[in-house]
Amino acid sequence: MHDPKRKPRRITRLPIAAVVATALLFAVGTLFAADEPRSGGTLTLANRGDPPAGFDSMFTSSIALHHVGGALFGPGNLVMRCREDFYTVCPYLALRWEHSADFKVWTFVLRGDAYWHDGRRFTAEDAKFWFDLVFFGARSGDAVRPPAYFARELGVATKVEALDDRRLRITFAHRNAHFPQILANPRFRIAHPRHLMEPLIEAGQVNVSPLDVGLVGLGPFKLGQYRRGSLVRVDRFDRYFERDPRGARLPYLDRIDYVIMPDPFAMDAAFRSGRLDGTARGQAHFLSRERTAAYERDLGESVFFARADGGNFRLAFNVLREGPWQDPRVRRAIALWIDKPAAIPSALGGYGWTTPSIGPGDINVPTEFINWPRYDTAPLEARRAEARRLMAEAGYGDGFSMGHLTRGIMTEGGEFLKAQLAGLGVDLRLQIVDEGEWNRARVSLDYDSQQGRLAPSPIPEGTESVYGRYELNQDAYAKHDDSHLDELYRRLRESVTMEQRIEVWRRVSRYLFFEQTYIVPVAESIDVVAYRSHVRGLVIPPEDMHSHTDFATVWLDR
Amino acid sequence: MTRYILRRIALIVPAAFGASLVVFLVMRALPGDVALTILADTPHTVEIREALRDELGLNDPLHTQYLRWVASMGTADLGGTSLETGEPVGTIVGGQLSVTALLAAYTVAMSLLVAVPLGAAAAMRRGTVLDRTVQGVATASLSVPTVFASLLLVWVLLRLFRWSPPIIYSSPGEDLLEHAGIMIWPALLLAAAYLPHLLRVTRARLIDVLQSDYADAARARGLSEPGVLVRHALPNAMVALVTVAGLQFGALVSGALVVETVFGLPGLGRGIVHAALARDYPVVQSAAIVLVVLVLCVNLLVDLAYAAVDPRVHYGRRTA
Amino acid sequence: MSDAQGRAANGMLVEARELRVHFYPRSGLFRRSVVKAVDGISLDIASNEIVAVVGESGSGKTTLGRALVRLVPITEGTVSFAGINVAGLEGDDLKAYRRRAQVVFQDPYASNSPFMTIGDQLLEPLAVHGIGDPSSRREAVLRALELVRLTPASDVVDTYPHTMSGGQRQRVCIARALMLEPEFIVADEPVSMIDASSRAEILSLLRELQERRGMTILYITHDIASARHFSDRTLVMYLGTAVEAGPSPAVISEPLHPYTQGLIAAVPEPDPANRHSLRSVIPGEPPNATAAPSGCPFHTRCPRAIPGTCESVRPALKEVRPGHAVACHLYE
Repeated sequence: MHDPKRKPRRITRLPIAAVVATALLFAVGTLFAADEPRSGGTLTLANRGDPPAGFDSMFTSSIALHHVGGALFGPGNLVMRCREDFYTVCPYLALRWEHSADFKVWTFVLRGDAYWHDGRRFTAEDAKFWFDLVFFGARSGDAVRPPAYFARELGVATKVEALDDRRLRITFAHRNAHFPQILANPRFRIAHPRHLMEPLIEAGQVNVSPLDVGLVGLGPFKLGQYRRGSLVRVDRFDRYFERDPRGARLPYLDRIDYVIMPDPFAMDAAFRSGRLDGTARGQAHFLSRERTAAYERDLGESVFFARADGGNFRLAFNVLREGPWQDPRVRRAIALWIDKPAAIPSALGGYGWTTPSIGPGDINVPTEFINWPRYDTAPLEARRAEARRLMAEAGYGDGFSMGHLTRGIMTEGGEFLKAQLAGLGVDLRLQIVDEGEWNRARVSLDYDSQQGRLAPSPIPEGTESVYGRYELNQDAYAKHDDSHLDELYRRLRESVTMEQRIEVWRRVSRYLFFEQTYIVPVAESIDVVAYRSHVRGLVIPPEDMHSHTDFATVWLDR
Repeated sequence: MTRYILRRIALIVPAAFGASLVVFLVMRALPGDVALTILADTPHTVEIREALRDELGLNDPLHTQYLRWVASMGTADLGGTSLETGEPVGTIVGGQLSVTALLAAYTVAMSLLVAVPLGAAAAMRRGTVLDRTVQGVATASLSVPTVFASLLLVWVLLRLFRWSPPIIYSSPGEDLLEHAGIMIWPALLLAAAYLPHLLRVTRARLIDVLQSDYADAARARGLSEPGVLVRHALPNAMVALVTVAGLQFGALVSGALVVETVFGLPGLGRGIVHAALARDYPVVQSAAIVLVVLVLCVNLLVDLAYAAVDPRVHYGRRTA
Repeated sequence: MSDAQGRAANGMLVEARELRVHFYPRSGLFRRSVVKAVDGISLDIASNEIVAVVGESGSGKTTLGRALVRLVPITEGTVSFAGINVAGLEGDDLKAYRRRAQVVFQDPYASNSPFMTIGDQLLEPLAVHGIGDPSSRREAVLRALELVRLTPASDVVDTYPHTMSGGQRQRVCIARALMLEPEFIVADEPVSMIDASSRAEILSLLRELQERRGMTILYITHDIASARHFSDRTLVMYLGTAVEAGPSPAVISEPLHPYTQGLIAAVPEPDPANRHSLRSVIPGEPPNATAAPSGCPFHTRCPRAIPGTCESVRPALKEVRPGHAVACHLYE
């Protein structure tokens, strides 16, 4: 029996700890404040756009979906990240679970009081339907539905069975010791009601989306109204099963209005004038220092800010393309040269941190999760001298020119790197592209280097898609064909104990960021969202803004 | 007349398809594709992407894709389904069109209501402080780009009144008051760019007519100055007004693109920008066609309006 | 002052004294300039008389006509119409005056509203002045159309001006001027813009109406030859001033002023026998109206100017023969 209430490891000596603690204070502090949560009211939030892909969590992990999807589909699937402690797995639709001695067979016992929004009870058959879609996709005649994008991350399943009404069994082809940990990812939402989707799939509509069947979910709020391009309105679902510590039913709110606001300027104006209770999540919508200052000026004490890890701002090389950057010494030199803290004000809107103390052998890390290591801790002058030496040694003492794919909505990053690398003699030619071209080019080999800020999965196993070989996933940040990483990720998946897992993960990161320097992590960005102070009970884990977007515990103090 | 209208409508069809072909080719010339947009935030396998591309028909030859889309224009879906969301394009574009069409209608109505009396007042008090002020404001208003004016308006409302326009769009059927509250601002801004054209032509045309012999003839008959204006000058100015109103309609629609984004209106302008960034080809193509048809229809209406206001204009039969 | 028919005691219907109409262009190069379109004209028109006003374009003849019917404001001087001071009329008094004094414009294409049927245009004056009821107004319209020989009147009523020729349109304008049965008509070059074949017809129509209805006409023209046949008396204008006035036959056959002489010489001579005679055509262009020359306004173009006099002293209009006056230093 796996104990879902296992105590999290202590977090010390970490700059991230400050952020974590602050957010936990917010979360716990507001959740268990002396005054009792009050029911009722409408929470008005901005959403950066219409959720894409028909709200289908199997095909998109867009924050535009997850900000809305938590309320409709719930904060987890069979399991979830605990509200009070992000590092622990809590029961959600499953009450408990167990595994075979070889970690290949997992059995979940489901709760009997979960209902779909149309009134149907959630059963093991429903769970089987969802896992089958995730692992195997669907087929009807010529029409094929591919497995979910995260299927590989969950492991290679061979069989999903509903043993009875309440019990589900999943059998893997390999040891899968950390399956609940991986499954607790809040992105993996059950938005797929079997009783509505199965008949359509059998009729050939294999790619039926949650939107096609009316967004019937299991979450604390049911769909009230969806006006494309304008509003997603969700209303309290009275049969929702979660309860608060006092035994009162969740959610507290009557309604959440997600107002679709693609324009950050319009969102700022609406928030500052009091029309919004919370800002949107998303690249251009997260707040900069300047914007938070304006918020504070207008709203004073009645606004607060929640911060979370916004992913690493990085420079990644396409080593499959001819050029000086194919020489590891050149990549090392670039990594050594960049003045990383300088990126925070100029490229990250003033919010971010660099983490020089995290590195291999540092055991005081919440080790189940990625933390970006920093290997180059020498003073900048010493590093830069070394960088020049490496460049000369590689035969590029006079520098060279390198193309750099730059996302149009984050040109500051490109400008920063260009200015930095000029000193090393590297002429960074920015190729600034719109979103459409960014999405194409970044999975192609048509550029020399790229930058970005996507946060990879907080689960080490989930990082292969962005750090692995180009052939396995063309969205890999660095384009390489290094089969040694295949081997490392295989060992990571096969590891049984947490210690083994940590050890392998450290080797992966040392290899990626130091020995080969396929990727130069520059600085960790912080995403900032604002809420009005009357919004209480928010849970925003600083590690992952996709988590706990169900707002079931939120109440309004006004 | 009926024949003339039918012929004009028949001409709209090839024009619309010509435009659609251009839009189709331009969209395909842009790098990127919608499968990658859908998967943009998602670590995904080649398998998923290719399955998605197959499903969306992106792997078919270009002419097949175009013809498929053209064929779907004949169906109720009007252009098939959105590649990005899977919704019928007709539903998406139809919903957006209703917003943009209302916005345009309010703008035109508001502009006419202001431009005609103000233009008339300026023409009748030519050279006075009133005339100069009206002309100055019109010129200034014309020279401020709509995008800048939008941002400025929002900023000023926010800084001075700690207030911003409503953010949730309601159709007039749902809540007329809310609808008016959100539509008035973008309509005002569009009118600020549209109205000066109408004002100028009204003023200029009225000045011409008020100085003409037949205005003098009317005065000589004892008609009062307002009488000359209403009975003789305005009908004459109306022809020029309708022409300019029609010519500027295209510019008005492109202005709608900007204000819809700033004011959160789920209209065609915002829709087409979003769809273009997402490379959602059927939506962009259909929306472009709808815009082309809208502008062509407005032009047709303008031509028909000539016949209505000007007895010299006849369609469909020759005049001596 | 006036008898029952509205005539002044001395038999004059219109008496203008030292009439001045000045324009002040508001902007542009001539911001501070004054255009003296009519600069001190005195003119008497007897009842039932046709007086021609002749001059080049820019001479102020049209402005004079418009001033008499109050289409332009009078800057200075008086106009008395049957004893009424026209210059000071306002409101209802002005409207009443409009019933009695009408105008026919030069351009029949521009003086019809293209947006109204012929019938509506003719009805308008009646409606404005509240004359008659709808059926009697329609009758009046048909009668007026027949009077100007636009027949069949019942067809013409519903047509628009653009379907008509210039001559026909001018008849409409005349009919419209007649609707109010005015005593006085200013006919401002009524035939200059219509084709030659219709000119004689229009003029004879006007003449006939004048005789039948006892109307008084101020006939404005640049065609001095037509004045001879059409008018009783002729006034010659140059740069806003009267240079010669007298009975039409006398002014045209024995012109006194060098300007009048030049005008007459410019007329194509219909008699082939006279073709060999040397013509003195007025050299040069009329000076700019904003910068009228000092002294005699014509001295800059005058072939017979007297040095030392003409450029400094402005000649007054003096009767040099019975009823025939001229403003020229040659006759002093």
